[in-house]
Amino acid sequence: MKKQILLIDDEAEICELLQQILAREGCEVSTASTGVEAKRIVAETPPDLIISDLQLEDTDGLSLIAEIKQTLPAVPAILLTGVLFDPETILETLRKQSVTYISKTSSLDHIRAEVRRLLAK
Amino acid sequence: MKDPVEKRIIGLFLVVLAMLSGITVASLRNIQRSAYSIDLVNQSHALISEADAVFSALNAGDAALWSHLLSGDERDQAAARRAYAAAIEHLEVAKALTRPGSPAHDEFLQLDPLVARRGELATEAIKTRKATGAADPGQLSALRGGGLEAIQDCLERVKAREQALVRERDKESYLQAQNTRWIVFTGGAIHVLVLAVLYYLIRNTLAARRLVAETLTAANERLDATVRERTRQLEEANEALVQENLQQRWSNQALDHQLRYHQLILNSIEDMVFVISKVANVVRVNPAVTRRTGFESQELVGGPLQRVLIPAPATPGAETPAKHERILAALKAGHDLLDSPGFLQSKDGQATPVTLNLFPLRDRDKIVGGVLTIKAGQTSAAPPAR
Repeated sequence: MKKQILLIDDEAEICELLQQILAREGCEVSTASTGVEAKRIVAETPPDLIISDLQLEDTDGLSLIAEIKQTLPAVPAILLTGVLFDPETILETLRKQSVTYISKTSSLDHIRAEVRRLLAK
Repeated sequence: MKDPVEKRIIGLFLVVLAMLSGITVASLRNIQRSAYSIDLVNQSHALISEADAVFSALNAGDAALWSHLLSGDERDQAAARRAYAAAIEHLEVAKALTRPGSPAHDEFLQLDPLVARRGELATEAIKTRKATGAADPGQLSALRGGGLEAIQDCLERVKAREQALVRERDKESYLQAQNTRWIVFTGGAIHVLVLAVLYYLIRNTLAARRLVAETLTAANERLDATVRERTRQLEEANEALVQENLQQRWSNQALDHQLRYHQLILNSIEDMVFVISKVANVVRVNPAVTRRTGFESQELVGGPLQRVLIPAPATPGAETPAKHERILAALKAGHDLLDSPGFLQSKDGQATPVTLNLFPLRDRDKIVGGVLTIKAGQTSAAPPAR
């Protein structure tokens, strides 16, 4: 059974690229560009992992993850962050919500390793 | 183009076929000869039989005639007549069985007068017996001789000749049978030999073909293995390329992301920012410069900094320097220049006093230019005289 990943990012190129990368890891990837769309997909198909951009059109990734975790508390989540964002400043918040963060400038190997680690849990 | 071995096999089969045809023709001919020979033998036997019958009938006739002559019994006379008639009949049959002009035919022709003479003697004797009531001894004596020995000799010659012919034909039949046997046995032996050669050729051909097939199969398996290995290598190379491509695209995305955000930061600053070269030419400006001066960035980039930023005189009232000496000196020395005065000159020629800060740009310990940030503000220097 393939692992389900929900990928939320308003940048279509990043969505497409990450979808290809994660599909090659043997995962089934659904994509959403907004928080509303993401919540609809979660209701239809509960994912095994959530990867969300921080800045979305209708909400921010951290709030969206917190909202999803109310219904799926065990689902692991990754927050994709841009260079403007300094995760160290909200590290405690991320830790409380059991959210891992990955910079958009991280290497692919690092992203893959994090995805595998969280899916293996 | 047929295989040479295949040609040889077909040739040998043709040889077998020719031999079979030859044997069949020879056998049929011998059978025909044998049938003809049997006919001739039967004819000879028939002739011998008829010759014996002629002599037997004559003897029977003589015996019945003697009885009649001695006893006067009419039944004996009738029997004698029937016997002589039978003798004549057998003689005619014997003549019919022989070819005119043949020695046997001639012999039978010679018998005609002798048999007729016997008949005449018999008739005379019967007449005398009837007339006198007793047999005439002279006639009886004549009957005892009467050419019977000559007839017997003649018949014996015919029989001897025919028996010789029968023996000869028997011998011929035997030789023909032997001949047929030889043909059949020799043909059979040659067939066996040819079939053995054929078997050898076919077996060798099959073995060679099997070897070729095995070699081909082995070569195909090697080729398959090579193709599989090559395919695996290509798949690996392709996978590596795909990974490399994804990595490249992700890196580009990351770079683009960084660039966009750095540009966003730079463009969001309300202070004017100039990137200048080591000789104080403008390399890049942020949007705040174009907003404040009215120059388009392309009007400034590549040109001297003093076009838009006029250096302040060293002392109040002194002449405005032609170059940004302090900036050039700071770039050369590689140190910052903070809160330095100057005048910003807009496109419409209006000069505004500003404070500038210079930070040299280092690329691996080498100064490649500088970043100039300008804040609008008062300066103690007098406005430039133009």
